[in-house]
Amino acid sequence: MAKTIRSETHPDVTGFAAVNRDVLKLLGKPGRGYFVLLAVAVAGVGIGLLAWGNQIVTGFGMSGLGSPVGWGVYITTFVFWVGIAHSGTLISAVLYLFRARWRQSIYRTAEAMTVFAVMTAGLFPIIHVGRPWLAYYLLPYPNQRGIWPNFRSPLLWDVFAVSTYFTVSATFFLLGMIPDIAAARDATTVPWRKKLYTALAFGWRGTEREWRHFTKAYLYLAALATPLVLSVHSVVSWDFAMSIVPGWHTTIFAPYFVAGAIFSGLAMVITLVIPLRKVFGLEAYFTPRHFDAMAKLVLVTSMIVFYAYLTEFFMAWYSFETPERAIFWNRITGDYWWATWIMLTCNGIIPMLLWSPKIRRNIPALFTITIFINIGMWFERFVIIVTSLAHEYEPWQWRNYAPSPTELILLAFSFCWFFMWFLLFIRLLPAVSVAELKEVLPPPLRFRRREARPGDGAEAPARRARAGEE
Amino acid sequence: MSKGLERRQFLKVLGVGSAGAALSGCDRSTAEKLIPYVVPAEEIVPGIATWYRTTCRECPAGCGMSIRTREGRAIKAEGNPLSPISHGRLCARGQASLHGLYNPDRVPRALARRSSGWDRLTWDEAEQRLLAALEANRGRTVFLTDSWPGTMDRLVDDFCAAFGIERVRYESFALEPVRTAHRMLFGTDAVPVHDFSQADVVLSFGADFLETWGSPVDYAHGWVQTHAYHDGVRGKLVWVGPHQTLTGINADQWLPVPPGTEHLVALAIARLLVEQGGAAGAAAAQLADPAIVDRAVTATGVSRPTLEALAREFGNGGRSLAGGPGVGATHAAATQVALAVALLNRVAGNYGRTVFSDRREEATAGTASYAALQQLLTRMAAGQIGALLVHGPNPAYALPAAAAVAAALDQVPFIASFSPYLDETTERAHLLLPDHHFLESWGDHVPRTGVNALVQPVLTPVFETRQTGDVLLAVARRAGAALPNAAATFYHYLRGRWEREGLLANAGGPSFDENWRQALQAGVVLGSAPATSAAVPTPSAGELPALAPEPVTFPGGGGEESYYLVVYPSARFWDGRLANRPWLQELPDPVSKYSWGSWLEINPATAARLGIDNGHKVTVRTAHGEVTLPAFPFPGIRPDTIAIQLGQGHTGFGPYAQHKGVNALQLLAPETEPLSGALLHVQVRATIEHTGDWARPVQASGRLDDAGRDIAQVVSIAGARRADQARGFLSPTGETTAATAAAAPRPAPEGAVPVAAAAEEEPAAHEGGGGHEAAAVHPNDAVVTNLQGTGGWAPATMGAAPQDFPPPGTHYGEYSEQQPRWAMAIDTDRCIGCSACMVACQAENNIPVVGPENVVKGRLMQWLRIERYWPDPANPEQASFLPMLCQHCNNAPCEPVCPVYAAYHTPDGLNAQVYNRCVGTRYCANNCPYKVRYLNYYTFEWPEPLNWQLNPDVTVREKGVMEKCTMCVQRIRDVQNQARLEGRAAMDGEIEPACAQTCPGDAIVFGNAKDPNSRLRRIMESGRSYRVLEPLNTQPAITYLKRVSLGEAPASSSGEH
Repeated sequence: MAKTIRSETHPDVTGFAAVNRDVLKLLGKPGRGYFVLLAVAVAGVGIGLLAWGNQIVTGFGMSGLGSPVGWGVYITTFVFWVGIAHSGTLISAVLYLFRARWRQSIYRTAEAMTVFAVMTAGLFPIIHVGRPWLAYYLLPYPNQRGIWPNFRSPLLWDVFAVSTYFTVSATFFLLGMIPDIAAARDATTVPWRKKLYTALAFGWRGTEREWRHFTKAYLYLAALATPLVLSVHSVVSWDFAMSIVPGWHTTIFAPYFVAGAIFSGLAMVITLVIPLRKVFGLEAYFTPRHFDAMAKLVLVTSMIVFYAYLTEFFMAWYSFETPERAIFWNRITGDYWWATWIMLTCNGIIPMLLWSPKIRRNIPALFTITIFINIGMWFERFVIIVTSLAHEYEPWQWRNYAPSPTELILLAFSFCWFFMWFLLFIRLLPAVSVAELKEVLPPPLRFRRREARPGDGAEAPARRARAGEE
Repeated sequence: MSKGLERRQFLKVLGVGSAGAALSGCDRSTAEKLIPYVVPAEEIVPGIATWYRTTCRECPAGCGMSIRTREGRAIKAEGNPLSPISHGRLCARGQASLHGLYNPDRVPRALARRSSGWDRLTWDEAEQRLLAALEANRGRTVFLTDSWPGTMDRLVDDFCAAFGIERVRYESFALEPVRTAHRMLFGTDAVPVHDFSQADVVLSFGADFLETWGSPVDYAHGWVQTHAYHDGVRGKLVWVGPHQTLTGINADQWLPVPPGTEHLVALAIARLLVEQGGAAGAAAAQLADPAIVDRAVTATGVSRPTLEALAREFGNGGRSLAGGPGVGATHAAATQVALAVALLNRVAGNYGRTVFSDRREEATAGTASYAALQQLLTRMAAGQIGALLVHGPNPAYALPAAAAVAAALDQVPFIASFSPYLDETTERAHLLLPDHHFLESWGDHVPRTGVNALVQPVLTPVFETRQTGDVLLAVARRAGAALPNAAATFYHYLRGRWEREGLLANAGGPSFDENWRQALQAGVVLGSAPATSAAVPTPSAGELPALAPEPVTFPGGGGEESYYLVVYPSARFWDGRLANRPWLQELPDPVSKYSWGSWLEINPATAARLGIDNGHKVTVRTAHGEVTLPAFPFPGIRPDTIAIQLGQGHTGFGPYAQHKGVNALQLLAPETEPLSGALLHVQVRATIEHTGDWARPVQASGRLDDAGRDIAQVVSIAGARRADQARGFLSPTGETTAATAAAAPRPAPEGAVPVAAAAEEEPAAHEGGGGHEAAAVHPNDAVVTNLQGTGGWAPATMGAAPQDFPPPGTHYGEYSEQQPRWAMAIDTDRCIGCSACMVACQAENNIPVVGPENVVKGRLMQWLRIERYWPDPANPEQASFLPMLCQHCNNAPCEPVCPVYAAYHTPDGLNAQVYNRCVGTRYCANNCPYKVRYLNYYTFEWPEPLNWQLNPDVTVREKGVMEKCTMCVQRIRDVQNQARLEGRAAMDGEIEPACAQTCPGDAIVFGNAKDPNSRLRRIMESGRSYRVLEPLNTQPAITYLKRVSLGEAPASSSGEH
């Protein structure tokens, strides 16, 4: 018997058939645990919608905001989720272009996370405005009111940045999934699933022509999406950097925010994938090697972020500006010292553990660390937004802010909303890319010359890989 | 379109059709009552304001008022410019009088007590019941009224005579010690009129003349004229007392003497004046003892050189003034203080120059003392009073709890209250006969000798109330009693008296009718002023009472842990009678900046020792009671003293007043000062206990200093002079140049010069214009200059003055040089922090009242706020007040960040906010360095009928909308439209925003910065001008003038360069 050829990245995956079996298994009938989780998420969404409705009807006073802190938990949460959304595009597009060979098993999850995170983030500016029923005023379309939005406002740039990002990442997500959905369509026997997959597969048959077009489209979309990784969070950071608020008005915000976004996004991917791998027995697909690679990226971005923190403090001191200095001094010693120290500890100090290869490959440790990073990154935005506003130029209007119950409910709502979509995703759509995984598996040599059969989904990875390299 | 239905026809048909449809849907029975507004009342033109002159009755001072009405509703109170009491200005209380008028908690009609609740009565029934009670209790009835100088006083006296009623006139803040001293000295039981405008040096022994003492608007107005920096000179105010009120923190020097020693200081200064060559005159006997000075030094800790210096300054040939004591300084020797103050004025030669013993503040003259009220209570408790009529005083609230007022009132079988509100006394009444609010009434008032003011209704009554004068006349008629000069209505009675007594004899009109009409138009009639000169009655030595120069001792406590307790009047609520006005409740106190409650003033050192911080709840105990309230550590109080303001802690009086704060009178005993019979407001020592609780204080801001941000700048008087000389405002010899003279006091609107006619010559050469050179002294500037010198980077264009709007590059579309540039100058040396502007702004611009729960969260909506800073809180001297409002920046940070153009710049330079566009992102507020943008966190409501006050020219905003100061754009447009109709340009001084209009100190000047001859422009070019946070390059349109310090300016403040 010939020596079994193992995949370099997925040594425990035995072959193409195993991929189909293992991945499409997720699309079977869920157990009770799944429904409990989903029910919790849906209930959280429901409660959140009630709280939001109450805020709309009663007035924005249901939040804890006031002068001078006009932005609080809502904008913090918005920036947090936009940040989370980053790694999806990074993993699927940038790493695709760079041919990073460990991305195949995780990129689908990361992309789904991106789409859902943007969907979550996109809600928060609307939740946050005083008159959400007029939020459409921000859209530039010819109207009888004679109002045209102000293109000088970073908030408007935000509208474009976030909506562009959502459009592109959703397209990327759905497009990249077509061959997999086709495989699922062929495998399923449940009538409604059949219908759903038939619709989403866009009639994919797996012909060579289709593959050629598909790989081209995928490549171009990846190229198109790549600048967005940099642009979206740069634009979001300009919400702050373009203002004159001390603590916001700084030129390093764009790179600092992008690094922070990738940092938080990768952490969130790890946080999501670890339970997924465990629950669905996908250990063979998400190997320590993957986690090691992601952890290295986390480590790098953590150092960038921490460097940015230190730069901010240094520049505040070096600027000789009283308000700037006061803000940063107040950050570490003032009423919000605890938030600042949570941020510094979780984002700058704890990730240093990842220097150790053992920890990078230790799944429970990695899970714990990424949870800390998620918390730290939420607090990073809280610290930037709230401590700066609370302690601006006018000492008469220095006042601390405490989130109201409504704001905390809506923060919880954001997680429930995200996880609701994510839970639906893993049971409805192939959570691991079937087609791309096969690219990195050794082809089943026995069937080397086999003719492609429509609907087999598993037939042409080698060709596809070649096509992608053309 | 020539055939068939044309558009206009179609619309007509549609309109008629739908109106018909709507009408047919109406209930016929109500439709009959509809009266179309086809022919309005003669004086009502929809959209055009009608003004009525009347007289403010919120406190006894009696300021002349002009009430703006629209479509029959009073919407704004302003001062009557003809009134010598108000000078066209009002205080915060006067501004808030409309909240008294439209108060939802007014008693709507005559009511009679039932076992639970109230029976509605017709006025016929009510008068019948009153008459029955009066007849049943003839000889056992007391009519308790407040001060009522004028015609009503006569009617009440006549009424009382006819029915055998005993009358007690009581005013809570009637300054009994001052009146008693003047009775002893001059035989007249009244507070003399003071002229602060002639006094360069003012010594206040607890006289809070900027808030409650005497005639606050007149006194504040006069005092600022002299005290504020002008022509290179400035007056001086010295505050003597254990605790600083608003007047106190305006003082240039504070002598923090222990309570009960003020008279020693006054006598010592008088003695030193005599030693320095002053004529003791009749007071020689009192000042003979040279040990007076040493005794004062020992008792007060004020050094002898300080007293000598003060004596030298005070003896300036009659241009000085001593006043006191105020209500908050009424201790057991209060009359001694008043006598010593009178002696001091006498020795300094101030009588006839700044103090007029022959001109009286009539409003409080001759009212009963607190002691008389106390006697009345004793008789009530003993069951000797069969019926009590109350109009004005609220004894159930305004007396110490220990006086057992409630128990005494319970012993009276019949109480009738004429109060328009359900106050604590009225709650106990059996018959409620609510009087009209003064804005619905006819009447008159004599604020001071020689000033007759008319009170006339400015709108039809809001409720089914009836004027008390009419009730008394009707009851007398019903009883068949013949009152002298009785008339059908009080209006006729009033008119009859004015005609009979010839009060309009000097008017010079052809008939009384004509004179009367003119008097109503003017609102005030000035009699011939009495001679103010040497004809001052001089007391002989024998008549002068002996003075006892001993400090007062205070019972209670003892040891280090007990503190002198000072209970002092409120600048906002007076004695508590105004506590149900939502505007006043929300208005931050000028000193503590607390609203909607009480606070305990405590020295920061004491507070630190006890571990008390701002907002900590502390319990204050005396032998008579205890209260728990938040602490406010505040440098203007001695370490051994604590202070609580009066006016809060109502148990009734409607939801706006009820259970807000504490009533400090609960800590006092009903003790009186022996000589005057005044209630002692400083009588005991109290202990304080830290409860350990803390809640975020209901306070606009807890800041005491500006954290070195140079927001409230101070300049020494020498620096101000140098700067003015450099700009040609002041000649090197210190003489005023023509330029200053033009900028000096407010010109009368009549004398205004059309803007178009101006533009001829540019006065004096000022490089760059405006006061922005002041920016060159920002502490960072040295560093910046260094960097520039080494070629580091090019300087940014900074400091563009308001008149440089629009900035180069924006000259397109509507923006052009031809437009005016509206701007403002605020002289912080003229701002006394009284906060009248804040209420005026709130009234003019429909700014909602948000309530304490929102104040705590930083959601106060007042577009204008008064920031109060001490240059050095550890060493309190004069506080700085900085009115902070939208700066209408040329380079406004709020504008570019608004995604929907809700914040934009008008061609005439205003930073406008378009409410309809606003989606409420709050980005503009974040980006505003001045933090003057306010979001509507809720759709705030004005409970009926408070909404009647809303200004129809200004939009009412809904939840989620950002708003801010508009510089009263509705007034600008109003004047501009009027001017356009008349074919001219708006004149300088013609447009007055509400804040500038009411400012008693004339600190705010509004105008067109592009007009080189405008008054505004002259003030902007003053050597003291600066703009707040100028290094941010926002280029504000509001120019501030630095406060002038008599000493050297503190190091933190940039002044001289």
